[in-house]
Amino acid sequence: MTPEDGNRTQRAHDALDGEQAMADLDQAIGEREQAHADREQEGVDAAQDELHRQQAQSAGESFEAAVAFSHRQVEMDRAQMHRDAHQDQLEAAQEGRGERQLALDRAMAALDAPAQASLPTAEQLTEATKRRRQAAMDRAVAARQRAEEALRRAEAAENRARAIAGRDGG
Amino acid sequence: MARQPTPPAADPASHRAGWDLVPHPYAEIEDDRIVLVNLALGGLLGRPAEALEGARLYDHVHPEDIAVLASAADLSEAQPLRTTVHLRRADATYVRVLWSGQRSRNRWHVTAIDLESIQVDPPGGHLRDGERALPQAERLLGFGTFETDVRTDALRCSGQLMRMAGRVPRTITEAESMLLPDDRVRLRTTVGKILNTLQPRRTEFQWMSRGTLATVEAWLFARVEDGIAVGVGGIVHDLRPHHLGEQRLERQSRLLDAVDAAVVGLDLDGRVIDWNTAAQKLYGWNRADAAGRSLEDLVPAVGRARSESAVLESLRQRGSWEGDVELEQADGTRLPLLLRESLVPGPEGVPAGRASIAVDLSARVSVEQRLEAARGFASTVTEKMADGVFTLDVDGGLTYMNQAAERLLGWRFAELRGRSMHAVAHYRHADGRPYPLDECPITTGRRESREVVVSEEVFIRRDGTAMPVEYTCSPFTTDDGKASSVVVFRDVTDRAAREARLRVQLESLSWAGRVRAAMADDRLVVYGQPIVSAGGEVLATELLARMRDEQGVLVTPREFWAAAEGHGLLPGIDAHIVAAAGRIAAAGTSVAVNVAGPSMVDARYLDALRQAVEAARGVALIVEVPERAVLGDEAAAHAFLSYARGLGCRIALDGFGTGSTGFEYLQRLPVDLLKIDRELILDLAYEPASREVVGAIVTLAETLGLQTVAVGVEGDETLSLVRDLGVDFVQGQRVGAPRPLEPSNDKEGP
Repeated sequence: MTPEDGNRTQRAHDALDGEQAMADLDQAIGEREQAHADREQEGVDAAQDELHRQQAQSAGESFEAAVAFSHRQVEMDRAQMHRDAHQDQLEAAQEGRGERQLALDRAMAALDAPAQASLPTAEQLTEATKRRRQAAMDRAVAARQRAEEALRRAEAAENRARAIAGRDGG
Repeated sequence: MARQPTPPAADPASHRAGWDLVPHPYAEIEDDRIVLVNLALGGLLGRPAEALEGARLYDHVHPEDIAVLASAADLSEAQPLRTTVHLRRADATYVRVLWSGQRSRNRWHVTAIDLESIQVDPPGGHLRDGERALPQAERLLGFGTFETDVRTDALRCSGQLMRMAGRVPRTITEAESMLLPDDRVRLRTTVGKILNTLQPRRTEFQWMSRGTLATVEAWLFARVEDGIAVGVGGIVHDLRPHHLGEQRLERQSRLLDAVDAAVVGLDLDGRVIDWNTAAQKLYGWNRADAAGRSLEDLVPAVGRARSESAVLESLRQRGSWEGDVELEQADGTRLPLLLRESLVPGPEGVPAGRASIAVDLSARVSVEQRLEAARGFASTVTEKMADGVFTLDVDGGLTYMNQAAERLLGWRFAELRGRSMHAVAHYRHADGRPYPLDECPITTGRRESREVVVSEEVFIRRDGTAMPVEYTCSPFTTDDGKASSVVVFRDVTDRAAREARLRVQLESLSWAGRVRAAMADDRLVVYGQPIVSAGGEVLATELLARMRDEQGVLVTPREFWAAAEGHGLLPGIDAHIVAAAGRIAAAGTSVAVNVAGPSMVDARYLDALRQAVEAARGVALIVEVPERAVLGDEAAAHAFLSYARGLGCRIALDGFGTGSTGFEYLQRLPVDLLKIDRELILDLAYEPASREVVGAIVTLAETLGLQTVAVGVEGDETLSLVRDLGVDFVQGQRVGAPRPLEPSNDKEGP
């Protein structure tokens, strides 16, 4: 590897580091939005549970009470619909970030491949390379956690759908 | 009891004839022998009177009564006898009578009132109870007795006669004063004839009794003493009840003729007995011709409308029958009738006949048809109108809803009939606050029976959404007198939205005018807030725009910024601030100024920036551009930032880090500082995700060679966190609050 090759590689690494930093910020912002969305969903779920509890307690009460409950349920459904739409947006954005990260990982792997092919010594592995690999490992762990969270959200959404179907007699 | 009349003794035949006229049993007894029995007593005992005369009284009474009768021998002439005895009939049965009389010398004059027929006392009662029977019999049978003595003008009346007369005449003269003059003369004549002939007579006369003229019937006979007629005795009947009955019948007949309905009296077989004038007019037959014929024979339409068997069955089941009949009249028109037949009870409650009443319904039918037409018209109008209409009963329950109301509210009338409309569609305000029933204008208007007009409220649709409405609520009274109210409403969603937009525009216009005035009057004020490093050195002072109103009260940008932006006033404000920046920087203070999106392309502002840089004499200015302005028009942002960089300004990206945008533009634009959005800093202490974002921003800045500023640092914990995260500079209340940079007499705003 000539000094020129080394400078070119370094510039490529720097550019990729910049890209990765932007991607990481993007991901952090997305996760913050998802955290807010989860809290909103918890609020909606709690309100729905409370509505169910009150409805069960007042079962058989007046027609007017039934109308009031149905109106509150409509509001709950509307809030849930907004939440679902927002969640769809968040998941679409997350999918985009995932694809972006995948592309970055491939670019990074391609950049590191020539060095590995020439069997570099441990000393030749720069601190930067070690840091990048550790960061990639951290991202993989975070991605797995996000996947688990997404699965939990999907199950919760499925339960809500079942509850609505049961309520409507479907 | 008054003394019994003393009949003449000299002429036994005349004496007997007199008593035979009296309808009540009478006898005369000497010792224990019967010497006279009148026809009434003979009839009571079932024997001819002659068969009893001369017989022993004791042979014709119950053995147990003999002792009582025997004891009467001890009575003086002044002491009346009153007891009950059982007289034996021809068929060997006994009849219980009130045996009442008085002795005159050795002769008893007694009456025998059949107590069993009048049932004064209960069976088995003590015999002495019968002593009350004669006066009671007088009252029950409605007669009174009297006797006169023409020699002394004396008059003796029984208690019942006194009650009938309403006064107590003691003399013949006094009694005559009660009579009408003609009757007085006629009665004197009659009495004279009786005294002369000793023949009993019947007569009628009238007297004033209790203020009214009463007609009485009298049976009079001569009283003879020692062969000389000394007066008359008599029994008097009040004919008033009989006359009243006749008068009542006459009144009823007149009343029936006055009734505007055909009333027909029928016997139980349905044959006409009588009918009134209206029936004669309606059916066209007079009374005489109709009598004895059935209604079906007389009026064929009646026969077609009813069957006699059905009528009889209905009369048997319910006591009445009712049906409609259409009567064809002579001119061919048809007359609708309501025919009703009912049973007429006889004196003992047993049906004695039938009554048929026909009412002409033509007027009612005509009114009903007109009413129906009016209702149809009203119904058509209300059903076709675009406004919603519903009516409420006195309790607020729904009684009617038109199609428009059903469409607008999403409910069908059948689903809400009788329900509280307030509870269903009016229970909350537009902002979600509960709407108590007592505060509802519809409720108060209904309770106070007054009209209410409301222009801005909401009704809740079936799906729970709020519909802006205007409505009127007016009280009215239903046909059956019940208080109700009608609500007419319309959906004013479009109007409400338009009015809301207008309000915003007006508000904006108002603020724009105030901003222009403030700029013209030089009432824009420059405040400064320091941006400091971790070590406490001041990087720069950010200049902030404030405004004083006409009263000198300070107004924050939050209140006027949107209006200024909407009306293109931001470049003017920015130019004002950047001019101040030049002056302040010239004094050696590094300053930062905000640049709104529109200012980046405004020539006056660009010129003002250039002049400020020149005035600063080498002290660098920091130009802060909102991230959203850059994202909105990256090309314009690039041109402006290059221009500013060319003037020697440093560039800060304001409000950074909330939008997920990719951030590649950072590599294309000349940016020196990232000012982290206040939103990320404010929740840093309790939101791990925000810490992650701030950390990522710091990493990105380091990667790209930029510096960071945390905006909105207000507490120690946040200050510590941002320093730990590696943020280069901080800005906020914790390190320096905004303060006026030039002398000012501002008053603090609210």
